[in-house]
Formats: sequence, structure tokens, C-alpha cells
Amino acid sequence: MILINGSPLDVSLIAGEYPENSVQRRVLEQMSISPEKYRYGDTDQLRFELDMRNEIVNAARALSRSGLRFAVFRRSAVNPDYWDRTDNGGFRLKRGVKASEAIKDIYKNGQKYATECATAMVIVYYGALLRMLPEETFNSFFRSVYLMNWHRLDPLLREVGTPARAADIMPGDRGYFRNPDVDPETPELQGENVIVLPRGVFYGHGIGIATSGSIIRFLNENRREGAERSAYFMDTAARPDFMKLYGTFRNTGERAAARSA
Amino acid sequence: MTFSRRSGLSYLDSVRLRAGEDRCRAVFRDILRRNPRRAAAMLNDRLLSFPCLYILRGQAMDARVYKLLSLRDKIALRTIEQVKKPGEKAKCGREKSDPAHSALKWVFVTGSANEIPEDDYEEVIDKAAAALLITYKDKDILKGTADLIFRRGREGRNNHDLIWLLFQVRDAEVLKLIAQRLRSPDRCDADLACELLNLDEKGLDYGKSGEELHSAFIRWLEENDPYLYFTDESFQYSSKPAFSAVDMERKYLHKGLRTYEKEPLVPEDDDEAGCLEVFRQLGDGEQRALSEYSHSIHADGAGYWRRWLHLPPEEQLRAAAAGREVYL
Repeated sequence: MILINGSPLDVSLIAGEYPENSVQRRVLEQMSISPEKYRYGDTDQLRFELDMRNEIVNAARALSRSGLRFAVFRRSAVNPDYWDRTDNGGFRLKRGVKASEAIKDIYKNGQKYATECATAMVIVYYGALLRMLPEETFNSFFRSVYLMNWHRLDPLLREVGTPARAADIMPGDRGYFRNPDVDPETPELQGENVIVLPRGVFYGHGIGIATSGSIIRFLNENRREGAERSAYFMDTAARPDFMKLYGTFRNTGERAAARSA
Repeated sequence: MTFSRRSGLSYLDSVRLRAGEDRCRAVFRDILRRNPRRAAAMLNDRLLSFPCLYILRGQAMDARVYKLLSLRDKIALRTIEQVKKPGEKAKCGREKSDPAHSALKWVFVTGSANEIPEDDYEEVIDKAAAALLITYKDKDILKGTADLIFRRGREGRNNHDLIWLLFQVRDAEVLKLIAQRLRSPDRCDADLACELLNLDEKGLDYGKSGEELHSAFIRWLEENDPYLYFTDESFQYSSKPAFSAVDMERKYLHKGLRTYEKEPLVPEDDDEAGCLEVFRQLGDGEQRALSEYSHSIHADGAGYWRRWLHLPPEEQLRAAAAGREVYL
């Protein structure tokens, strides 16, 4: 159920703003039939979340096509024109480089980069924000960027690092497949971070876009000898604090312009 | 040579530590050229450390030497190869009598004490630790693994895989080893220990010295040990993983376990089932308050505890909030 200022929303009032089968429409429908109460101060807040979820999905699809390679942190790689690789395998924005240019380069020249699945998720969120905001606004908020799984997340994205039980798992959420009996010599396969996409598929870095069955099969193939427990999808989700992002970017007065452009 | 053996070092290690890696390689190359058998004997020296074999791995693979190497060295070189050419999985036995066990222990013990700050080297050490802790269930290296995690943390090196591995052992000893770092004068160590023990979640992290924090945690552990379990959370999953947690239901009903696994609590009778049903409907904060109070009064007598357990939840909470003196 969606509540706007405490009152139930007649979804048909805004559903028509989005094409049939769009991410926004699917999320709207999922929220409206859920017993969970999704509360917003006004419909613009709701629209912001719907659009942001759509851009998370778009960014995930774009990253899956980018050529970004999978590697454990010890073998991570960056394009040194934009990023410094830190001793622990993270990516740090190079001094004097604009965050927007550096993030765009990962999507454009993915084959020059390599990292683990969690860092790829953070790249997806930056990619989504870059699609939502004018570059100037993006760069003014993200003067320094550090990418290394969920460590040292920017305060604006802090919530994506802390999954919690969720009544509904929706497109644009970050989910996790856990592999409890993973071979200890391949700890990178202890689980797979994924972005939930529409139509029952997920984007997981290193796996690509796949169904839950394929991801579980892949993880199960990398279990220790004598393993008894299967990999499984957890009932938790992490998502940005959409309200916080809306509140932060609303006053820039540029989001709407960016969307219409 | 006599001096180095007296000091507990192999000849090659003494050259490496005194004159550097390049000099060590040059000396070994010279010995190998003149007498391969002697070169092999030097690598087979029981006092040789893994870092020395690691830097000499190129020459050690020379066929004239390799065929004369000990099983220890061959297993160690194979582990290095697996890191350098990923794809091939190690074939380990499961028994501690397995020669691979003692070889990997040598790799870890002598290799972690003096790490070469190189990604591949660290990966070899991590692989050895993984095989020892999980496959061979060798807990002798728990302390060494904890030391390595904190050392790498101080040096800004990657320690996430080792942290994950340490918690996979599912032993409260791991928490005690980490807790020792709360007393460290090094801020980096103490902060990492707080993070790994989730002290902020436990409300133990404020306004205390390292010594006080350590004591508070050990008291907490003694109280919660029977209800403790390891969660499988890691830095890959969350920015704030709860590596271990307390099973509130078990603490509430005083049904501890020592497996450190989250095992579903099956009520013994309708009475317990009723208590549990009510408990499960409460929020996290209320569950925590009731389980802690339940634990605290159980020691004073099962009769009072059982009477309290059968009060309606709001009265249980009131008693817990007021403290047992008021209730009694």
C-alpha cells in the first residue's frame, strides 16, 4: 500500500505517466498490492524513487555490457588516467579528475577495470545518480570517490551498504545470494551481490544478467568438498535512502531539467 | 653459516635478511651453478622460512634442483603456482597426518611472521590459512591469523578474506583473540577490534578505556556464550556486518547451545510454545530487554523465573524495566 501524506494513493493517477512494463510501473504495482505501507510526503518523492530505481536498473544493464572484468581485490585493475588503485585493491578518484568523467570511463572502458561483485554494485549506484543528475550537480556532491566493496561509502549512499529484511524485493534493490559452504580457497564466491532487475532476473558482476537458478547453480559449483548446503537468495535488500537523496537533490532545481532533456 | 644456525636462521634466510632479496638470489644462483645438490639441500633446510623459498621460486623450479626438493618445498611451490596460474584447485586431504598439512603449516607459520608486501604472496598465505583452518580444522593458527589481520589492517593491506575466514571457524576463541586488541595502544587495532566485535551494537563502545572495554566484552561473552552463533555475514555482504549474534529466543527460554550455529528452537511443550509465540511477536528492542532480564533472574531461582515467564508480555516488560527488586 502506498500512502501519500497518510492517505492511500490511487495508483492509477500516476501509473499512466510510465510506459507499460517499465520499471516504474512494476515497482508502483508491487508497492500498491503489498501489505507493507510505503509512506511518502508527496507524489514527487514517490516519483523520485521510481525514477531512481529505473536508473539503477539501467546502470546495472549498462555495466553488464561494459566489459568490466571480475577480479579479486588483489588483482583489481583501474584505468590510471582516472583512478588510483589503493594497496587493498580499491579505486580512489585521481586528484584533479571529475567524478562524472571517472565513473563514465568505467562504463565506457570497462575492460580496463577489474573488481569484485560488491564494488560493482557501488559503481551501479554512482552510474544511476549520474543518469539522474546534471554532471555539474553530480560533481559538486561527489568531489572524492572511493570504491572498495561497502567500505567508506559516501554518506549519501551509506544505506546501500546495510541490507535489512524487506517485505518486498523490487527492481533496483540490492540483493545477495549466500553460498554457506563455499570452498574456503575461493572466498570471493562466498556470495554474490546482485541488482534486482524486472522479469525475475538479476545482475551480478562476474555472472552477468541471470536467473536465480543459474546464480545458485554457479555458486554451488564452487563449494567445498562434502558440502551439504546449497547457495540461496537471502530475504534482505539494501536500497539507497531515496528520501534523503530526494531531499538533497530537490533544491538543486536541475533534476527535472535533466530528466526532460 | 655457523652464526646463522645458532640464531635459528637458515643460511639463505640470513643472507636475505642481512643483504636483501637480490643478494640472496645471486648467492643461490651461484651455488646452484656450482652444485645443484647443495642448492637443493639448502632449500630443504628445516630452518628455511617460506619467504625465502618464495623469492627463490624461479631457481627452485630448475629441474636439477626440483627433483631433489623435499615434499614440503614441492607442496609450497605448488601452492605458489596455483596463485600465479589460477584455475587449478588444490587437492588436500583431510587428516592432519597428511604431508600437505605440515607443509602448509610451515608456509603459514614462517610466511605470516614475515610477510612480503606483494599481492600474490599474501594470497598464498591466505590459501594456506584457508586449508589449515577449514579443511584440516587446525586451530593452532587462530592466533597467527588474528595477528595477520591486524597487521595488514595497520598497513592498509587487504584483510577482508582473512577476516571472513577467521569467523568461518565458528569458535568463541576467535572473539577473545580479537578482543585482546581492544587493549592495544594502536588506535587502528582497537578500532578494527570494535568493528569486528560490533561493540556499538552491544552498547559497549562508549567512554571506556581499552582495558575497560576488554573486560566489558569478556563479561558480555561469558553471559552470552551459550546463545552465541556466527552469522556468515562479511564485508562482501555489508558495510557493517554482524559477524556473530545472540539468539534472543534461546536466551529468553534459557536454552543454550554450544555449537555456535543458529539452530531453530523447537519448543518442548505447549507451555514453551506459548511463551515463544508471544516473544516472536515483539520488536527487537523488547526481545532484547526480555531475554537479558530472563537471563539475569534465572540464576536466582527457576521458580521465580518460571512465574515471570508466564506473565503477559506487557507485564514481563514492566518487570524487566523496573528491575526485579520492584517486581518481587
